[in-house]
This record gives sequence, structure tokens and C-alpha cells, in this order.
Amino acid sequence: MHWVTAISTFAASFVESVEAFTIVLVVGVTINWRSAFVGTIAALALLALLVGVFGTTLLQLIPIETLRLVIGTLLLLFGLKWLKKAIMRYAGLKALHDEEAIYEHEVAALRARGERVGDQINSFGVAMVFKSVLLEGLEVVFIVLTFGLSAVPAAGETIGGMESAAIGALAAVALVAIVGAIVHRPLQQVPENTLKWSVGLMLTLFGTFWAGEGLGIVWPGGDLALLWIGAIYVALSFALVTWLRGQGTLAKVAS
Amino acid sequence: MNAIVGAARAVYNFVVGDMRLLVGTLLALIVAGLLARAAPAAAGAALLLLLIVTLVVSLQRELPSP
Repeated sequence: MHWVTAISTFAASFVESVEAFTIVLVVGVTINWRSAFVGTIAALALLALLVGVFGTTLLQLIPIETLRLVIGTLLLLFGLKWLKKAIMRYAGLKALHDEEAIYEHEVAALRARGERVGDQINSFGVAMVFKSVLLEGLEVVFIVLTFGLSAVPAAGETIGGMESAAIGALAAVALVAIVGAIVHRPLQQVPENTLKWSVGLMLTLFGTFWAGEGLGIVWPGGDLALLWIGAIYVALSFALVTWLRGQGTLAKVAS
Repeated sequence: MNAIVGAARAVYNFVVGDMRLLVGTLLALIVAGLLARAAPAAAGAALLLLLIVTLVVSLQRELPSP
């Protein structure tokens, strides 16, 4: 076993897996688990196909910067839309349960047609998960290939560099999946608009980070920049809700 | 032609559905992309700032008129 390679790959893959799993988790909790699983399985299948067909030449074939920019931009557009709606609901500019009423209406229509309710595949959820898992999965594949190929073979080792890198990455993905499975139940108790706000926040956060990386931006702190960018968006949300509430009250007084 | 316009509108509504958010986000990315060549760290700050302005402007338009 090439321990240095396995540990390095584990650490790097852990960060990427957490990023992908965050999106899977928020889609699973806010939309439904069926859409989250369909998106995840579709992305993993495409990844397996790419790795199976191209192998180590993937490093030269896929321009990861372009992929980051495209996926980051889409996440950013989705995320800002969700964030805006959630802030408006908190500020009282939009009914808290407007979408719940629409949902209830759709549920009644589905029941009338004798269809099952609640686990319909949602194209938005599938698309979100698919893009995120594909991007992060590709990054894990690139990490494994880079670390695996650069590992210097030592005498007497039965498990080579590439195998050690793959074991490290698989262990990281498994650990993140186990932690995710444990925390998903408590998350379902969180109020609806808080979850929707958190989805908007996560999509905007990862969208900003990935699109920025795709543009060649060097984020201070590397992957840790996700923490301070996230803190900025959280503070901004609170500030905007307070500001909008004040403006809404002024408008009511004026009218 | 109608089918193309319909499809484009469906994609637009699915992805963002808000012209101010779309234009502001794309402008922020273009400016940050141009700046990234000269000053990669400052480009990050510019991207964040322009995205925040985009969100604020988009929200301001939703306020009820007095």
C-alpha cells in the first residue's frame, strides 16, 4: 500500500465529496430523494463510462476549467433565484406558503388521477444533482489519476500507486456518504423556507466558487474560501431581509 | 420558429426567470473574467461584489411602490 498517496487522495477527495454531497442532501431534503438518487446515479454512470473508455487520457481530454465555469454559472443562476425568493419570503414580500399551496393543488390533481404523490422525479432536482456530482466526481477522478500516476513505486509493494489513490478516494466518498445518511433525518425537521434559503445559499456559494475557479480566480485560502464566501452570503441575507422589512413598512405607511 | 422561441423561453424560465439576475450575473462573470488575467485575487472580490449588487437591484425592484 502506498500510504502517502492514499492519505493525500483521501484528504483531497473528501473535500470534493463534501461539496457534491451537500447539493445531493439539499435536493433530497427539499425536493425528494428519488430525484437526488436519479441525478447521482446518472452522473456516476457517465463518470464510469468516461473512465472506462478514456482511462488516464481523461486528464488531457476534459478542460476542467471550462466545465467549472459552465456548471458554476448554471448553479449561480439557479442559486440567486432561490436565494432571492427565500429572502422575499422572510421579508414578507412573498407569501411563506405560496409554493405549498401550489404543491397541495398539484397533489390533489395527482390523487384525482390515481397517481402516487411526493416522489415524482423533479427535473430541477435531477439536473442540480447531476451537474454537481459530475463536476466533483470528475475532480475526484483527476485527483486519483494525478496522485496515482505520480506515485513512485517502492520495492515489495503489493498495492501500487494507482490502486492506493483509488482506495483513498473511495474511503473518502464512503465516509461522506455515511455522515450524510446520519444527518439527513434531523434536516427534515427544519422549517420549509429555511431549507429553501439554504438551497439558494449553497447553490450560490458553490456557483460563485466554481465559476470563479473556471475564470482563473485565485480564492484566498483555496477550498477554505467556501467558508468565508458562505459567511458573506449569510450576512448579506440577514442584512437584506432587515432592509426589505424596513422598506416594506415604509411603503405601507406611505400608502 | 415558434417552437424555438418557446423552447428558449422554457429554458430561461427553468434556469433563472429573472432578466436582472441573468444580465447582472453574466456581467459580473465577464468583468471578473477580464480582471482575473491581471489580478486573480482582486477578481474574486469584484465577482462577489457584482453578484451582491445584482441581488440587491433585483430585490429592490420587488418592493411595493409607496
